[in-house]
Amino acid sequence: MREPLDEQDLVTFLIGGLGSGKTELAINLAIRNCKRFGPGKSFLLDLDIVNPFFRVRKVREDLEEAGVEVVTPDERVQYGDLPALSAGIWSAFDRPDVSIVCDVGGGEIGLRPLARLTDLAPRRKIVVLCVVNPFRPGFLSADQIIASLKRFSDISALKITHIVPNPHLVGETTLKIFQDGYEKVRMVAEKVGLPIPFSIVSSGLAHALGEQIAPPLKEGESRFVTLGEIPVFAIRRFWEKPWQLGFSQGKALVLQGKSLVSQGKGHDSNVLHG
Amino acid sequence: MAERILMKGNEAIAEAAVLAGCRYYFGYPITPQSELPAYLARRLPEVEGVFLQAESEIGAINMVYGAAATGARVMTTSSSPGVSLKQEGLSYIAAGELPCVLVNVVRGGPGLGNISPAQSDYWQSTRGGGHGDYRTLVLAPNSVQEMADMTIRAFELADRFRNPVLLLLDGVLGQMMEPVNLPEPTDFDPNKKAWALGYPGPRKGGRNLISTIFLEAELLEEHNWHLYQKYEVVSEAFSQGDLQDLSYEAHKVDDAEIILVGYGIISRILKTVVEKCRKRGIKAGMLRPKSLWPFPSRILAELSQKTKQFLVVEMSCGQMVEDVKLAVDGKKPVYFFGRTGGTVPSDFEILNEVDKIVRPD
Amino acid sequence: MEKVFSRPNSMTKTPFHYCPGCDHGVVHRLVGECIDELGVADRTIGVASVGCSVFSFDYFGFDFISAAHGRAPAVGTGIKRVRPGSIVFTYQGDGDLAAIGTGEIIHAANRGEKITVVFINNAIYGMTGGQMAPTTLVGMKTATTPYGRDAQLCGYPIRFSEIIATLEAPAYVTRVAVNTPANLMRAKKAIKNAFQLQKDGKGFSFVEVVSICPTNWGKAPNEAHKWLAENMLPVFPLGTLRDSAGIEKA
Repeated sequence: MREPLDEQDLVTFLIGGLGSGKTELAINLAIRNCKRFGPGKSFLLDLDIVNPFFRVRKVREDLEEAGVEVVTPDERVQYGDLPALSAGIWSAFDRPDVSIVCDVGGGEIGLRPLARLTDLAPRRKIVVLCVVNPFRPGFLSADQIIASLKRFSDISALKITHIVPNPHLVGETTLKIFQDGYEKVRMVAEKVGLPIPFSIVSSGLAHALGEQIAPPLKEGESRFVTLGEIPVFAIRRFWEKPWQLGFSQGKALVLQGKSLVSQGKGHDSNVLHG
Repeated sequence: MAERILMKGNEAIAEAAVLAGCRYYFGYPITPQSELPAYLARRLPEVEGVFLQAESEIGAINMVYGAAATGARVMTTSSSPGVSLKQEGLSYIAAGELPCVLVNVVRGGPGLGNISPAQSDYWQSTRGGGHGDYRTLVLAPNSVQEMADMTIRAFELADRFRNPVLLLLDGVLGQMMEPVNLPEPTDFDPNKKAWALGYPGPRKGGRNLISTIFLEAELLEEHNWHLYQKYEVVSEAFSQGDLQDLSYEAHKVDDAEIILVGYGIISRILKTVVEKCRKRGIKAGMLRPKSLWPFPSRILAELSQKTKQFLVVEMSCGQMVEDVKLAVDGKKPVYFFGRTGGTVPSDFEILNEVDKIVRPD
Repeated sequence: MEKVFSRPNSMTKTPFHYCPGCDHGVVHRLVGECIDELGVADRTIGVASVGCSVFSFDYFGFDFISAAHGRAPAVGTGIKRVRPGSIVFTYQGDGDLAAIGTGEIIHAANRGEKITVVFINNAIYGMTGGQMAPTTLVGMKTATTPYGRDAQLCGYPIRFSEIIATLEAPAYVTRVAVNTPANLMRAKKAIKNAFQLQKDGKGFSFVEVVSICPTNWGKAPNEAHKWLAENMLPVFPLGTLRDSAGIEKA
């Protein structure tokens, strides 16, 4: 099977409503690109000026471990909410041998920095994917989705080229919820005349679906597969239990820019750290 | 019942406020609660409401004071440094016995601190925060569904007791997404409050006056005891009356040798800790205060007869632990574990603490 | 016998607590007369501030609320936004409006809140015991400027009407005094204009009344009014700075 977006020189912009799943897709896509094109050949650019909590920055180390080049705002401001774009964005665009995924902030406000980047667009081959979760407010009906797409188009300096359905209710997602949501977005895409390159499912659900997924998926695996006729990207969802983001099976993730050595005070002694 | 949808905590509060009949919002931008005003800025004009970005948090809370005095359902939201600025107005609102709902999406402090999630405004929230003898009702949800439901309840409580009600969150709760069923819209008529400024119905005692100045000491004392009696009624309703369901959540406490106490996002972690403890043969339970004032002291006192010890876990250097100690009254040891400055403890860390307490060797 | 002078209907029988000769009582009465004449007492809501006029609500018979120091314009905003059909006014002194409440008044004016502000400028804090106000004249002795206001230390008296008049939204900004019968008649007209504009839904109206404080100035009322004319009015010249609706010509 030929995977979607499988071109090394491609620049993929991800836009969508607040909480539509852009950042999770960005992370998974950048890691996929790295596997595909090799370490150092996959760039992930953080253009999110909207949401200070759920940016890719907190999983930066995971990404770098996988070999993804992450370009985020200056270290000094990255845990603040200062809307500063990195100069590294411009240098990434100058390298034709790397694939680029741009995580754009949610909603209309998030689209603003795109105007700042329009001079870069002609240099590269670009696609603009609009991620749609039809279970999010503002995207619940076909009319609402079309109105939101129109708002994005009016503001965005870049034209939307594809729609990516991401129908889910986090842990409550079932095959039926996926299918109902997918169908809603598919009808909208047909109406507005935009292609759907693939749809998003969590790797957990994809794994649980067993043989309905082809080729079958190992637990925790993130990959492009098919669900019946539908091409789907089984992704790792990072934010299902956000309070666990600081830790993962006792392994310290990067939080606040340095290794998380416990500084909590016990009643009588310092806390052990595994 | 409306269909199940995926919402952020901040959005759920905003939409629930609209469903509760809140048509007036006054606020000032601050991270990490910005989705909330952004949502209402779009939503309120759709229902002929008013969204107004004030010149400061001080301006915003005083607009709330004015709007609340007319009997309307009104809300303001902010985060820690902004809530500090709102304390002046909150004192006047409490003194004037006006209903309103305030949301604090707590961030790391003191000072400018950072924008990461924290629980370090517990004292400010439960001890008044502003000047004078008054109380604020404080609800602490731990899920997006509860944020929606408690917002509706908060408006009801505010009207019932003519008192400000605070929803205390943190950045994780405000930002996290979970499926919710939105509550049904409330049938609220703002023109039924006979005490309100501009009340259109027949007046019994002539004009309506909202004043918080009592120059004669005896008059202020009388007013303060009047407020105190109201707070007694509130406490009674939470501890033994019709608001018990809003007071606390007890999870596997009946046979527990150690009871973990935590509110808000911490309680989500504590549930995992309880399961892991039980798998390891430690009988752990959890007591989650849903209302921080009135505090669920009664149940804690009862539990102190049954369990061997308590471990209080907070995203602060230890604030609520004082209320737990007051409730337990020295009958059993009360231990504390905290992370602060915007860090969130892991289940693993807390488990270690439990181990040290239950299996000291 | 025909009654030719009586208390305005919108005012109560409560005797003023103000010092004899204070301009507050005069301005209160002007407000009451205007409210009566416009026939809006049943839908007027007053916002009291902090200062000597902290009990202004005692003297009016309509709905009232007392605001924290300086916050009256924000409180008035909240009321007017919920009840756009009511007539909302704040009654503030110079400490309240021009010092601690600077942010609230500027932004209420800048938003063009459809409220009326009556601003008493007597160049001193009365309630707290005669301290320097932002409008205190250079050289003027107060409890906190015992050697006279030193411009090098404390700057110059702030002209609030002029500041408000730099903004685009306000409909009516005027400065009046009640030190002579002629000025009093003009002041009455200005206050009525301000309320008339609000009744017509035409935006923010601001009336500054240059006033005396006989007690804290240490002068008898007549002497104080003379001092006002000679010293205050050159710094705070009377006249209308903004009349975008042309109410004065109407």
